[in-house]
Amino acid sequence: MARSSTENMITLMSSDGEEFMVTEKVARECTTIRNMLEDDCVITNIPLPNVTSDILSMVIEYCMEHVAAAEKAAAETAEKGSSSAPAAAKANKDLEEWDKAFMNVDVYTLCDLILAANYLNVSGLLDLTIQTAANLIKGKSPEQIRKTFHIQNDLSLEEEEKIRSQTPWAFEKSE
Amino acid sequence: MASSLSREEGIYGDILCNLPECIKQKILIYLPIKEAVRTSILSKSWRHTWSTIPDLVVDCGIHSNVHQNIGNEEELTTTFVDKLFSCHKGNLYKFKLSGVKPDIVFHVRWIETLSQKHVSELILENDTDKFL
Repeated sequence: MARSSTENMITLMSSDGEEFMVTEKVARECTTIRNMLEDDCVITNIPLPNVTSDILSMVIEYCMEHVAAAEKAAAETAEKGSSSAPAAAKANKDLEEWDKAFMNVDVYTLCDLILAANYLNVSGLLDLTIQTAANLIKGKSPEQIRKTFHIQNDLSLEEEEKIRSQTPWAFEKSE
Repeated sequence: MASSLSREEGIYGDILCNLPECIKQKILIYLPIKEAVRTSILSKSWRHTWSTIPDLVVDCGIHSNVHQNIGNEEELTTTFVDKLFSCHKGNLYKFKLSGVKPDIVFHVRWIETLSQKHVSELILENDTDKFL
């Protein structure tokens, strides 16, 4: 991606001390960082004590891809005077495919990404990761969900029966 | 490597349980309501999560899983919503009933419950358009 030489660069520092230099535009995809920049416009170094380097690099990758897609769409609109619907639809589909491939991660990474997206307030990434987590639950039995997410069942049989009897309509068999 | 080993040994704990309650609620909003309710038997930390989700979406359409019993559709919807309201604890931002008949009776007691729950968005969506 060609980048204007006048563009401000911001350094993000992960909890384990790794530094990531990104354009201000990419950093602004995180609402939490955007608010910091708006409060103090000379800030160039931002420590992120809640995000590890492997997760931060993924968040940055997501933000860069989405900024690039938006810039490409804006450039095409400017060039042609108006946006071409089929081209825009294809670009959207490509981005969706990219998102889908990006979500090909293990559940630990997925949960870490959810927490980072929530903390940094990247709404697109938060929706994507939460939807992915929901898809891992959908259509599964409680036992399968526990296995997928390594959930320890700490309910006694009596407690479980009590919960089932409070909402029996939710446990009716048919699907 | 060390990190994944410790995770497998269980030091990482229940990963979904470590998520804040508001995130767990957001995950459940993406599930059909019955599946969201069923997460209450996963573990203690999931027991009450569904009952405080801020958005309740009930799909009563013929392909939904709300009506599993044979009977009057209207009655089944009414019973289902009554049961749902009797178990849901918190405030509601959104309540949506989809796939309902255009002449559905929206009971006064539901209005009362929704107003107690300070609902901001109420959506009724009927199926008729799809069949025209």
